[in-house]
Amino acid sequence: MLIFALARVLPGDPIRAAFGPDVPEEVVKRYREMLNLDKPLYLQYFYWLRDVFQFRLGRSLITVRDVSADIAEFFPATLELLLASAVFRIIVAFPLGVLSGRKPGAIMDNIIRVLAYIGICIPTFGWAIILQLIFAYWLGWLPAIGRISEEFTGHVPRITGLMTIDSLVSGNVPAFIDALKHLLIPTVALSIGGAVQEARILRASIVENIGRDYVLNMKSHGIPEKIIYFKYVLRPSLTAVVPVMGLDIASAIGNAFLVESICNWPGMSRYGMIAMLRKDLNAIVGVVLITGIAYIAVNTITDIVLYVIDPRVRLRGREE
Amino acid sequence: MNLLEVRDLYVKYRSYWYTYHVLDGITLRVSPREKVGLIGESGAGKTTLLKSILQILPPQGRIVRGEVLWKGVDLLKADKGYVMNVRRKGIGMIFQDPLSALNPVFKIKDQLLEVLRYSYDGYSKSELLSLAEELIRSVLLPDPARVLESYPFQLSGGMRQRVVIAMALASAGDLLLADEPTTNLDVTIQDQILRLIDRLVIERGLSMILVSHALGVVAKMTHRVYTMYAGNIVEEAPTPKLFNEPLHPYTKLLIENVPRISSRRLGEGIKGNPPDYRYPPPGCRFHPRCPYAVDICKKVKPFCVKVSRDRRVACHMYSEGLEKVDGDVNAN
Repeated sequence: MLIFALARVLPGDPIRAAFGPDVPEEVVKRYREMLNLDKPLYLQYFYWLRDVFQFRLGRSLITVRDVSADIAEFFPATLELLLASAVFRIIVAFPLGVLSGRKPGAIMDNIIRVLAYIGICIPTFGWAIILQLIFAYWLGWLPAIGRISEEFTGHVPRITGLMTIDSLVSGNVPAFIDALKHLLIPTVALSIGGAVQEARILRASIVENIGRDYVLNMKSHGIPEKIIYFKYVLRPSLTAVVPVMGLDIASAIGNAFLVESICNWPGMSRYGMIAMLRKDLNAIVGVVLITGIAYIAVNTITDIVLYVIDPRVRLRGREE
Repeated sequence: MNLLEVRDLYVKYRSYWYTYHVLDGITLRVSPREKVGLIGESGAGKTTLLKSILQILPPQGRIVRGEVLWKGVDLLKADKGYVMNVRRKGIGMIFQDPLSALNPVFKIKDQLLEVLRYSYDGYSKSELLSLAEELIRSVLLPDPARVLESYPFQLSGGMRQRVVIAMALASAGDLLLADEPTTNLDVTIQDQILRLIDRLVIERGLSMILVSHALGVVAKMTHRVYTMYAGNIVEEAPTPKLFNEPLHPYTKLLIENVPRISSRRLGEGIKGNPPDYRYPPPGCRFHPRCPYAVDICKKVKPFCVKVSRDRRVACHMYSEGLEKVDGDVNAN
């Protein structure tokens, strides 16, 4: 509702912004009526809400179709990026954290520390440009922009909207590899800063847990160090890093627009940014709404993961 | 033969800036089925001593020199497998704080079975499980099945400490190290827990080192007592003798200052603080707080002298005309 109101009070005339200064007054007037922009604000909200419950988010002024259709087209690309980002974070953050937590102060720990600072210091868009420069321009290993090469365009059926999964499901292996290559740069750019930070948090949590009495207790019973570390220290340590990771991934939804713009990734964040600049009212509200829902979804998943690994979360309610 | 003998053990902790000289030549022994008390203020190095015996010091801690003889074998020189075996089957340790001695995110069953798996090799899973239940029953916890299925935070402090004791028993084949087992418990259950430990030790024919601030408990439960001050053993005597007629000034002060219910005034405590381990005082480490300190105490570290057949003390007041004893008074 707040976003709805904010979008409406933004300065500038959305119709004029969409059609330019030269459209005749009557066209503008007709569009206004069509979008209910001539009605008072509370009525506008009421109409909008009525439509939302019918899964219609109103017409976009730029693409000239219902915003829900736009989002259905662009959201899967962003979702793919986010999922890839989550996978990347997990396969980078956990091993790095575990490695550096094992022997604090050892060479490995220091190398990872330096890498972590580099990872954090460079912003998302910086990474996107650097990676493009190195892997696409100099080395030519990876494509710099887009989701899939032209030769495969139209050859992959749209099932889930996730290019990698669609191509895999339809058995088109070359297309899958191609899609994966396209996915790599934006994913790494989007997640590397967060991933190294999460590795550091995991490391700190491990170091803290290693000094606890229960570790000494297990050691005093002659339980092998590897079992203590990987089974009994790691799990409680994860409870510190999982919520952070969840939050990071959720906020990546918002941050994705930089990467999507630089890598020409046809995702929802980029769509939302264009909508914002062009004052496409319904599109803005729609994107914010979906972002909010995605946020809630990510947080729910985080809570479920925590629920599984930490019995204190699971049983607290029942105990009281 | 002694079950455990610690000889001239030096341990230091290192931080980034400083070195802490914590254990300063500890010598101690435990015979089979003997209950030994270890008393002294907090920070005297009692816990460090127990951890050094099992070599489970934190990474900053280093054993500088000395010997830890387990059934005649020096654990500090023995190979890792032997030490692991002693940890699994020889020595069990009860930790001070039952709240932190158990892993918060694993069931009691998982943790206890993990311990048993290594202490009883060759047992099947169901045999281990019945062993676990038996152990839980032996520490007088009702409904073992339910306890095993619980997480630590679902149990009370007393119950948790019983679980910790059960765990310690699992690997205490010969010796139990009890590190202030009741300090963090409710006063009302302290007594129960101590009785339980005492009974279990006797039943199972174990030896024990009991670290405690509660001198009354040590007096009741042990055969022999060591007084520790700032990383030194300053006195050793059979329990009744030590409490009836303490020799070392520090032991005297310690016993005099036990708060008594019959007395209306609170004990004054021992004046001063334990020394800074970074710069321990030269000579006798106790001299800055000692009411009898004379010049020599500030310069020369007193060595242990045998004052009678079964007593040993490290103080210049008693050293005149007596020979320095290395190791233990009773050691042959």
